[in-house]
Parts: sequence; C-alpha cells; structure tokens
Amino acid sequence: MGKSMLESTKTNSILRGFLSVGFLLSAGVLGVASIALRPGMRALSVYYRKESIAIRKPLSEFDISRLPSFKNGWVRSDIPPDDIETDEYAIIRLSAEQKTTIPREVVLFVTYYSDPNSKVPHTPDVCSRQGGAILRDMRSITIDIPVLLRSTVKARLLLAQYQGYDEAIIFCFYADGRFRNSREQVRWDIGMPGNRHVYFSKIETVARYPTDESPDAAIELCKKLFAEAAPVLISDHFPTPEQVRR
Amino acid sequence: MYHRSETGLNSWAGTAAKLVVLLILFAWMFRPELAVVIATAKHSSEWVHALIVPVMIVLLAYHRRAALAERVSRGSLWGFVLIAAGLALYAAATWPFSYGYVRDAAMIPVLAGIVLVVCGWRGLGLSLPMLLLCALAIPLGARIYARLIIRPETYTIAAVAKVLDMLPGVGAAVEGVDIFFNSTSRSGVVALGQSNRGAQLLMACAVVGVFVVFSRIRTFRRLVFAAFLTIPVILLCNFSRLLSWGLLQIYVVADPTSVLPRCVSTVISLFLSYILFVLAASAEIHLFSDVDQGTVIHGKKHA
Repeated sequence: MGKSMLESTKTNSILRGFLSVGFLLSAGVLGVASIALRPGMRALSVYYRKESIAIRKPLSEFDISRLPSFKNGWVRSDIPPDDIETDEYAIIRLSAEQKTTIPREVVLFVTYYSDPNSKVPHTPDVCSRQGGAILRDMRSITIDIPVLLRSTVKARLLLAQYQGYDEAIIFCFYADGRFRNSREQVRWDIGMPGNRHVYFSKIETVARYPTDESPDAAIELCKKLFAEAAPVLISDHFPTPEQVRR
Repeated sequence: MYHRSETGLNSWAGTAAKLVVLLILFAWMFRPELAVVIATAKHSSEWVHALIVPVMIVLLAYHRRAALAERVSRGSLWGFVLIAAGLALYAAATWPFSYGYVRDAAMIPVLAGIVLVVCGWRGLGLSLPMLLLCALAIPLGARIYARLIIRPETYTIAAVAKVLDMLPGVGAAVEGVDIFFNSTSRSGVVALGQSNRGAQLLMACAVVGVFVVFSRIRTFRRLVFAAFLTIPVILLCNFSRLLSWGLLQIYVVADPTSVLPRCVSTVISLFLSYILFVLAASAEIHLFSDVDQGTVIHGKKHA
C-alpha cells in the first residue's frame, strides 16, 4: 500500500511537470510549427515569388565609345567564355595601340542574371585559385564614380599570381539598383520583398602586370575602366528601377 | 516558481520525460535538416564527425551528471522565447530569404530553448558545450566554406610547399591550390584531386577540442586560455595533415591514387589535435594551478 502511494506521488509529480506553462507553450509551438511552418512559408514564397526580367540591351552590344578614356587608342576584342552560368555576358579585352602603355591590356567582364532562385555564382577570389592562381592580396577598395547619385562604390580587389604574370582583379555586384561587394548581400537583395522583378550583375575588370612590378598601374587602370563602364551599364543595359518595381 | 532547485528521482524522471517529448517534437520539426546533416556526414569526409557528435554529447552529459543533478531546476519561460526566436529564424530563412545554412543553424537556438525551458539557466550553462558540438556538426554550404577557407588554405599550402622545398633532394612549387613536387625518385602533386586540400578537417579538429576541453568542468580562466589556443591549434593540425600527406607521397607511397597518405595524414592531424587540446586543457601552468586547486577544494564549478 505504502509503495503504491509512493509511486502514485511520483507519477503525479511528473504529470505536474508536464502541466508547467513553459513546457506546454514550447510543446504547442513546436507541434504547430512541425505541421504548419514549412508548408506555410513555402506557400508564401510561391505567392510572392519574384519574376525574371530581361536586360534592356544585350551586353555583347556594349559600346566602348561611351568610355572617355578608352574610346581612342584602345582596340576591342571579344573573348569567348569558359564556363559561366548565364547566356547574358560580355568579356571585352581592350588592348592599347601604343606599345609603351603599361599595362597594355585590360578586360571588362560583365555577367547578368535574373533567376529568383539563384544562389549567386562563385566570385573570382574562389574561382581564380581553382584556375591556378595564388592570391597575394584580397581587400575592399572604394571607387569614385562622380556621375552616379551615390558616387562611391565599395568593390573587392584581388591580386593574383599566375605562372609568369600577375593580375589585378576588381569586382562588384550590381543587384536591383545597388552596388554590392559580396554574394551574401546579393542574396539578401534577391530575397528582400518589395520589387516584382529581380536581377543582378557581376562587373569585373582585370589587368595583367609583370610579377616583379608594382600592381599600382594595373589597379588604377582597372578602377578607371570600372568607373567608366558602370554608369554605361546602368544607363544603357540594366533594367530601370521602374521596370524592376512594375 | 521557476529556477527553484529540485532534487530526487521524481524530479529527474520528470525532467527527462519533458526533454524527451520536446526533443521528439524538435526532430519532427527539423526532420529535413537532420536528414541533410546525416546524409552529408555519410558522404563527406569533411563532415563525417557529425555522426559521432551524439555519442560525444552523451559522454559529456555522463561526465557532468553530478553537476547536472545538482543544478537542473524547473526551467525558465525564456526557453520558450528562444524556441520561438529559432523558429522565426527558420521561417525567415525559408521566405523571404533563402539560406539553407541559416535554416540548419536555427536548430541550435531551438535546442537551447528546449534545454532552458526544461532544465533552467544553470542546466543550459552546463549544456553549452553540447550545443557547441551540435553547431559544429551542421555542414556549411560548399560556396560559403570555399570562401571562408581562402586565407587559411592559401597560407597552409604556401607553408607546406616551403617546408617540402627545404628537404634535401626535393623541389616543391605552388600553382593555385596545387603543390608540385619532384625528388630524385618521383614527382607529382600533393593531395591531387582533393577538394579544399589545403584546409580540411577544421571542424573535426574543433569538435575534438570542444570534447576534450569540456570533458571536465574547468575554471573560466582555463576555458579562455583553451579558446585562445583553438584557432592556432586547428591551423597547426591542418598544416601537419598536408605536410604528412606530402611527406608520405614523396618518401613512402609512389602510387598517386593510393588512399594511404590521406588516411594516415587524417589520423595524424586528429591525434595531434587531441594531444594539443589535452595539453591546453590540463597542462600545469602556474597561471591556472592555484585556481584549479581552489576550484576543487571549494567545490566551486564553472563550466
């Protein structure tokens, strides 16, 4: 009899624990979330899914005569792509006609994406190493673009060493009307509610220089090309803010 | 009502029962994420340590059973807030923002909330190492991982190539993430074809470190000391892994497809991490000895 009373008290004590407010609330919210949270959020994501938007003017028609520093004395040649996740791109090599110009070449590499489910592709800091480069430096820089409303753009600078030469690489994303210098920021912009359409672009400039020389001239050339190409891309190629909102 | 300490078998049974119920609901809620963790662990040598984490958690709980029995209380309502915050994070990482890793990581605040609501603040404090182990078992996305390891991988590859190059009769050079070597008897590439070859097993070494350091209840100063050493120890173990891989390829195994260098270098780096963390956690350093003894004498426990 005494033993059974003890067991009854023990069971009551455990049951009392189950009736605590914290436990009941937690069990309730976890139970409801298990059933409803995932399907609910998926339904919301389908309902509010953003749409793709076409580029206004193909990047292959990028007009280098719009670049004040490069319209004279530089020869354009288009480079075929290796492996990129979009059909909308431009890889333009600009070679100086004067052989004394250092660096003699600079490349403008622009890609355009408009997939609402995009995870945003790798950036050059990851890709260049797979391509055989040793990264010598990797940092954020600012580029002044006076013609833009927000005239200072934060971009990423890489100095990569290859066999026999080095490269200065400057890149930045442009997503829904804002410059972004990391993949995570772009993914944030893609998800941010508000606009009906979604797009982003990666703008990259690259210049080679001899391994034993200072990278300063190559960096300046990349910055200059970036500063002159970005406004042209925004005004002629990328969708306008109104188009993205509609 | 809350935070009141309870003792006795009744309280233990009740606490365990509540914990089991909430953990079942947790597993039900996060079943796709748990499935991904298990699948990744089964197919990736980088995350295989996730399979041993539950055993480590049980062992840590066993080591701390006396402290848990003493400090587990009735729980705190703040646990519910943590659970709700974790679920809100999960929801936001599904829509409007789609981040797989954040959805996985949302498991940690929910788990912490469950512990808090059942065991109280002191129980949560004692469970922090277990939660840390859970966090280290969540696989990072390939793109995030590739970006995070750029610097450690670059420096490790450069350092290993330099050491190999200093060996008599051996020449080594770096191209991208490859270390090319040539010696009098053979030439090749160290760890050819291995993804992230210059930065592997970082999380596995961290898991070893957490398990070793928290296998006993240590003073706060000792924990700070161990935490301060964590990153250097992990980087040193990573360096030793790639270096031993290279040495084996140069001096022992001629066949570039052999798995022996990989297996041996993995064992070496994990064993080294174990030894170094044991030293960091228990070496008799004057800075800690007085405090450690005082802790034992006065029965004053920290974490």
